[in-house]
Amino acid sequence: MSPALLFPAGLAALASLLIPLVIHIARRTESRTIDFAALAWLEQRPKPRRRLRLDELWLMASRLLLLTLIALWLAQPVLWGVADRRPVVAIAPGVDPASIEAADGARRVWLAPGFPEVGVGPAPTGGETISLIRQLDAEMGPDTPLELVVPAVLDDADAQRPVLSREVGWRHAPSGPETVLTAPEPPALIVRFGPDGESTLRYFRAAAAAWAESGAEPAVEIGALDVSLPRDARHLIWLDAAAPPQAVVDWIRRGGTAVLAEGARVPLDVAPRPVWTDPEGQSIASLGRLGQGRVIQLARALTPEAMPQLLEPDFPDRLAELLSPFPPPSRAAAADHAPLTGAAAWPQPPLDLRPWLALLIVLVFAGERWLATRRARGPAP
Amino acid sequence: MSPLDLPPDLRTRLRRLSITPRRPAVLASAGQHTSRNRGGAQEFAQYRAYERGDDLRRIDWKLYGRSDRFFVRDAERESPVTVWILLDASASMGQADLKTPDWSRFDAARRLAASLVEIALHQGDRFGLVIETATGPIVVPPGAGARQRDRVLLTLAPITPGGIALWDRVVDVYGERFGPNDLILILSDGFDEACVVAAERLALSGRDVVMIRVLTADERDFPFDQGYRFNDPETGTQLVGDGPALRRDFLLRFSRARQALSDRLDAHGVRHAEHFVDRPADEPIRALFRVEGAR
Repeated sequence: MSPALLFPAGLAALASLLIPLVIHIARRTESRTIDFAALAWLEQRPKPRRRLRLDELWLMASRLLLLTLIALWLAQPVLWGVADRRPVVAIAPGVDPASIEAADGARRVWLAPGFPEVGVGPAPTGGETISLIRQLDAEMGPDTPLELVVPAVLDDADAQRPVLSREVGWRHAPSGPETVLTAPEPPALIVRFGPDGESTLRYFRAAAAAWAESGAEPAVEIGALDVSLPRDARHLIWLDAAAPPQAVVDWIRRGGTAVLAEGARVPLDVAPRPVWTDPEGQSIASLGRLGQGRVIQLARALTPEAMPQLLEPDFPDRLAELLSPFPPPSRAAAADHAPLTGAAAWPQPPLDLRPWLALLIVLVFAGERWLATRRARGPAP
Repeated sequence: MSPLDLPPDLRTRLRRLSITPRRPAVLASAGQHTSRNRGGAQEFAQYRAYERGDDLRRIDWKLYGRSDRFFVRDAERESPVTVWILLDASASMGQADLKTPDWSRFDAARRLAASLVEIALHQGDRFGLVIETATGPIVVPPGAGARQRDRVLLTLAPITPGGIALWDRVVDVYGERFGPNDLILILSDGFDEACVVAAERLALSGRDVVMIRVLTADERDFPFDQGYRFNDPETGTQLVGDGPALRRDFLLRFSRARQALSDRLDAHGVRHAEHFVDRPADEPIRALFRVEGAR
């Protein structure tokens, strides 16, 4: 535990200590005139006086203390190495904390934003478990033991096993029954076509038919440019070289995904980047963002000559991925996702002493005011 | 706190005090003092209506013939001793203490004068008053009785000290009004050389002179704890100095000066006492007249 100043130049404010000193000395220089008839027996040539004399020492002391504290506050005092050294047991939401026995003196927290204590407040909902494990490791002192309790299957793993700065205890709940996952619904297409786009409708019809379950009706709705969008529309194919009307732009801005034919452009918030290239590296489609929506701009005319990919067997899959990208793989068995060690320990932030100092300043100020305004006090300063 | 209204406890203590001249009084009187002659002229004071119990011999029959009423000649009692109170009203008397700025040396002197008047009245002595001001003396001719006391107090009440008193004239002009056996009480601070000289000259001429030096508590204690500009109210001389630095030297010099003045007065046969303004007024009177008061 060592005190330090983050901004030592703030101590320059100590120069203001001169102000109360001057205030309390200045009155001494003026001399009051009094009648004194026995003047003849006073020494005619008094020794010059150079001794400093101060009025109201307590009041001056409180003022000096107040200014010193303010200067110290400006210098941002901190205390290094005051982190909590109790062992920590972090429990992922969804695991019953009653079933976890922790050593005496251990701190039990939820693996949730802010790391609330277990038993204080309601149990939080889960999410971002691996990211929170990294954060907890970074926020703890280097010598504090950490034990993690996670469910049997991690739903939000990311691309790498967490690399932590310490050895951690890694416990996971017993694996439950295998969960059955269902494939996501294929995107429902809304197609709007202009005079030139009618010939390309069949590719999208074919794609929708490819997505549909066998025997089911393909989820596609085709209309002219001026047919308004249905209320629950999410994926729009715009087959016209002219820019879409403002109503469509607003719909994109609210969160829709639109595929625009070559030539049709809307103003974008985020410049487009290629998301589909041909083997030569030429861009076929690029993705830009507008508000909360996504805009996929096709760079080629929708003809087999200009865009042979239309005829490829994987065109429906490509289109589906463009419209609703697959989420990255994030499920992992906890047993296989234990954290590694080897990361450098994070330096711990020091304890900021300024709030306590501010409290002290308020108290000293109150004391100074009391001294300065109490009744039994002479005039000035 | 008026200096002329004596507090009850002071009044009680004054009743046990007396003003005594150095020598026994020689004139006859109804006064308190031992005397060689009895009887003597009674000085007319006033007429008053006859009351039952009055001596028939004291009725003024001539007046009865004129007015058909009984009047009694009131005679003033003749005391062998006249107490003269000489009060210094120079500017230095106006000095007040740091702690009690509304109780000046002059107030203390006036209270002392009122106390002396009270005692003289109680003894039946005649008493007169001379106030030495810058413009000349204010004189209340000697008399006795409560009316004389009121006259003296009324004269004292409006005076404010100021200027430099002209002590030389006391001896030259009024010296002859003081009888050879009169008791002359000088109330002053004693800083004025002329005042001391006047006291000495009166004493040399055989009169019974008593000097009560009224000093302030500041002159005794010198409690100044910071720098001051000291101002002499009579000469206008000023001196800037730091209280604590001046204190030791001043107290030494001032006590020496007081001792020197005491020696001087002793040498001339002037009885003297010191009175500090923060002390009760009966203390110097008791100190001065202690030996005789023990009779």
